[in-house]
Amino acid sequence: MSPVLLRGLAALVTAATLGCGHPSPPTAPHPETEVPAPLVERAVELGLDFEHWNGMVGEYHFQELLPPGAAFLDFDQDGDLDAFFVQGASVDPTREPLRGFPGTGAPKDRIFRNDLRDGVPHFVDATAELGLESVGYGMGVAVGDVDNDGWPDLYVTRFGANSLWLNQMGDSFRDATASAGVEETRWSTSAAFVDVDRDGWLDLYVVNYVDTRPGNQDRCVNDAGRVDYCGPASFEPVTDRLWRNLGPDGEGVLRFEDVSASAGLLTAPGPGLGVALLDLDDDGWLDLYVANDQAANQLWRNGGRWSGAGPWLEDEAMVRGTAFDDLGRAQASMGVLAADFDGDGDEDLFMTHLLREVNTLYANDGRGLFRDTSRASGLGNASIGYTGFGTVAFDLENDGWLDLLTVNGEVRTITEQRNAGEAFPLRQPDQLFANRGGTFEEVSDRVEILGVAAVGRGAAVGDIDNDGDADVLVTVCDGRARLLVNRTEGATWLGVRALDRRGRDALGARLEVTAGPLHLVRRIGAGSFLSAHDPRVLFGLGDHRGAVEVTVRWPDGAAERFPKLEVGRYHQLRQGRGRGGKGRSGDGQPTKGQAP
Amino acid sequence: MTGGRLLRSLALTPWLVLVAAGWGCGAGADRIGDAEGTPEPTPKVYAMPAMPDLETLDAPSAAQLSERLERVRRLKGNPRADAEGRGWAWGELGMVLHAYTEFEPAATCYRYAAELDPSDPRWTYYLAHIHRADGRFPESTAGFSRVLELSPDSAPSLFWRARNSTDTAEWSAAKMDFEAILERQPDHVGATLGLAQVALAAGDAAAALDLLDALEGPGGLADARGTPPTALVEIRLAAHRQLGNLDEAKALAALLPEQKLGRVEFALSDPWMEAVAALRVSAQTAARRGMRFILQGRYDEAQPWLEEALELDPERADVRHNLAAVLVRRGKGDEALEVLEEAVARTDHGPSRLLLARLYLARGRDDDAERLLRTALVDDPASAAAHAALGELHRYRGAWPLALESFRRARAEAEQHELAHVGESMTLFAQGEVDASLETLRRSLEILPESRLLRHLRWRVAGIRSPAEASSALVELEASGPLTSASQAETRAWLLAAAGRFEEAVEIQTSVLAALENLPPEDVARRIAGERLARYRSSAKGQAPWPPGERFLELPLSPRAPADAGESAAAARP
Repeated sequence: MSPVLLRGLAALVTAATLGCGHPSPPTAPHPETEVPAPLVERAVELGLDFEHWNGMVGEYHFQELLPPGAAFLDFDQDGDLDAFFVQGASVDPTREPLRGFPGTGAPKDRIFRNDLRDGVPHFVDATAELGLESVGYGMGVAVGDVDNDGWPDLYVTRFGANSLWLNQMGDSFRDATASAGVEETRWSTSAAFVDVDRDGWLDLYVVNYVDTRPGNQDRCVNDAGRVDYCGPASFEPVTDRLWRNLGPDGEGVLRFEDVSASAGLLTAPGPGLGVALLDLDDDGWLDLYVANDQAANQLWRNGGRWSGAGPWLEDEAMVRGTAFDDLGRAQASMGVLAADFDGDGDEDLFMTHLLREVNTLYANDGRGLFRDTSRASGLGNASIGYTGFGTVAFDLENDGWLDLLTVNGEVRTITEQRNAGEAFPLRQPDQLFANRGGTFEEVSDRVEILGVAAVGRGAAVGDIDNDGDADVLVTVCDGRARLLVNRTEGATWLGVRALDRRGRDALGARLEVTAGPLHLVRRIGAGSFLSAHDPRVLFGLGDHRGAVEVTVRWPDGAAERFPKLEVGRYHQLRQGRGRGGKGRSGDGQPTKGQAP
Repeated sequence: MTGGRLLRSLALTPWLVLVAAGWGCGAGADRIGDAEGTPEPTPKVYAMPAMPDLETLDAPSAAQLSERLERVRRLKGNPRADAEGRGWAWGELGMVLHAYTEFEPAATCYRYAAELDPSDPRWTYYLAHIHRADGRFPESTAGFSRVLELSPDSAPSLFWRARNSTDTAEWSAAKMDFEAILERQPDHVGATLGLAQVALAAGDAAAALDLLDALEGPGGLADARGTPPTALVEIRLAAHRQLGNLDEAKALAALLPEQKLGRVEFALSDPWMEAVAALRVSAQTAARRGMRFILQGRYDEAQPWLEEALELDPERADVRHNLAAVLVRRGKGDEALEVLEEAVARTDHGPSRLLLARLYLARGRDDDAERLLRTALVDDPASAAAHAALGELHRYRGAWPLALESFRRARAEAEQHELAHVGESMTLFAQGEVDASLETLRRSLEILPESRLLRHLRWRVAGIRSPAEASSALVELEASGPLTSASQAETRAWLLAAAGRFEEAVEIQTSVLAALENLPPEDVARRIAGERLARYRSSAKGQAPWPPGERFLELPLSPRAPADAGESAAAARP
């Protein structure tokens, strides 16, 4: 009997013994012959020792439920991925927290530098040396080079004032929130940098949640009268914000303009939690999909008209079939992803939902019209027993199909955990779904740490050791972050870092690879729930060994081909240096830190 | 009569506790025995599942649970209690847990009940529902099938088994069950919608539309309820999407936002589940029911539920707030004031404070209103609602610059704050700056294009400039659909007067005044409506600019909704 089967039996015995535990739908069995999945938890071992603190005082403050997010970014541009974590604060400084802050000094966001040596990552807390004083009740983070200087900058969302941190060539970060004009004091959750108007400067979309200002929030109770966390329905939803990046003014100061009204956002409040970039009809203009909590989701179609009377964006979620599920019900959407899950070359939408709802997969029919395929895909029913938040799409075993990890944790207290005296009784296991050619099979039990329940929230994906497979960073609300290191070996891969003409990571670019029978489409996305991913793109190529061609549709609409790229390593593709573009032709250049 | 049936027959009488108490008080584990009390060779232990902490529950919910727990404990230790009786006690305990969404212990109780009394299909039925909610579709389907063996005519069992099949993409099984339901009940809405879903899954959008047409046809669902259920619109929309009829899809999509507000669901007769729902007696349940009536505009029916919720939990500030809003809408302003004053005194509830301030303003108690608003702004200097209300106060006092400053501050804090836009343009209008007011309204409508309040205001302001413009505005008003409030009817009267059609204006304004007669005489809205009627009657030709004392009554409801997210989405959107 294989160890996997033994573990499965042990799980069964445990479940039988526990009897009345939280709903735990049956996980899909897997053949005995399968090898264990290659994700291994190594956060502390690799120096990524971050513990989130939500500062709860036992009064069920709504904001203590949601955070934190995290980001993978290469802030020092040394060719390996560093990590940024959003930290919490006390929800009520006048009260004694249920547990003290677990770190030293005051709580603040942390940034860890990756000193990758011989393929082994080693993370060092660089917050102090960078002088990063990012404090407040943090929610999420977006990463993008807003000033086109080649160094990734940060936008931190909070329950309170958000912050824009400009990266000073990897030596420090400077707070440019006020000078740039991107101040937001409402409760923001996810954010995305995206060049919506294709002017070469990254604009900023900020998702806002609900209005919980003083006096609005009071006690919430469940059906039986037990005090519990409020839901979004207890408050008024608020509108999102879109800032257009104007570039530097005459004095060299980076400026943004709030164009929320002209864009049409002010007429559409919603309790937003997640945002994804996609080009739903392949017209070259990036659209935005906003996941709302217990309300219709929004699909902001970008028609490319960025002057004159608004609205510049139009919400087409209802007509295109992505506002409600297949019975017209609004779901509690949290994390959201846009990616080609069924391998047909267009972008589908996946989002995580509340306990006793299904996670939803909306399949794109190629015309930008969507169909709820949650149940047929195998993703829906497997998620009914969980409340999903962060989610990442990555090719776990580099077979060319995008797999899914969902990070779970409840929002209503779990009686059993509460009865056991837990202060934050919302723990649930995470889930892993293997893509079997467009349908999914749950393989959570192949990764031990996923079965260790936690209040999972954010997730970021990236290749921390540059070995060509995707690793995953998972954040835990009021708990220690996890780093799931991918140990895949054998399958072929290709890594791409796509830089636009200014040398900036081309967020929003669409990349296509044809390799034998595989035709893969990926986009450099914005991240998922509260979190931001590695801007590089990994293509799993299965057993394909020959050189491949990559076609890039740049965010400004131009397209270029980069032929004859050698597999098994990273390539840096510069706009203007491919074929079919305005610049000279040529192969991609290998990047620093590439795999041998 | 067996012990179990005897117990059931006594269930609704006060005898029960006495009888149960007389049956001993053993607290040991229950053991399986046959109906005659003969012990099995190896008795099975029925361990009590983990229960919610009674001290954390509403008193009536805790009492319910406590009573049923006690009943189970007593029967457990009673060697004379038969299996059927013990099964019934476990099942009844399961039902109350089920009602409060404590699914895990409820499932355990139902399992025990079904084992002890397999002849009672309810316990298997309820367990199948819980399996379904937990995503255990095979177990759920097996459960509904067992119920159908015991009760072959159970349409709900057929329906939910079919829904399990659609949820697991077993389309042919679903089709069979939906058709079986329709054979028995040809007008079963859920089954028809289910068949339409099945047709869509098979790629036959035309067949789906035919089924939906039958539902919406003469005597169909839409006629009976006024609006079709969301599911019907969504499935119809999906069918048109599948057919590529995007124009049709867009027209249907336009219906959906309002559908979500109303949350009109199709009715499904399910007496067993209704029995579970009827067990919910907490303040939260009453508040939720009240909120549902509010969302449907049925304020008279909402009031008793809100009052009951407050009786059960006097600390519910949100309920108090909503009760006050309901009272105002029912013309019971004095009672509303009392309720709000208590809300503010008890909990200093922010929304209640603002609503109270606005009621004071409507009553001309400007100083009281100002005191509340100043306090609100100390607590939250960025409160757009408080700034806007303060603007109203300044406007009533004729302090135009201060009013404009407050309204503009409110807009700066929340650009889409409707009353701030309204207030700013009204203030300009009151100063005689008609063109500036119109320009402000034009800009405001760019930000809030759906605002009926702003549109009506624009018509009123435009209409005052000349009879021709008034006539033109009247045409737009008539084309905008039915008028749904006294304020909107007043717009019509206003424009008729401005167009020189005084007799018609008098007729409309008279009906407006009749609609406001529930308001106290000192209420500003009522007073102004009366003054206007007098003015129209005297056939005065030049309508004065907007009277400085004009006050709009808006009654925001607290968005507070149930903490249980399961079905609260709609209730959240007043």
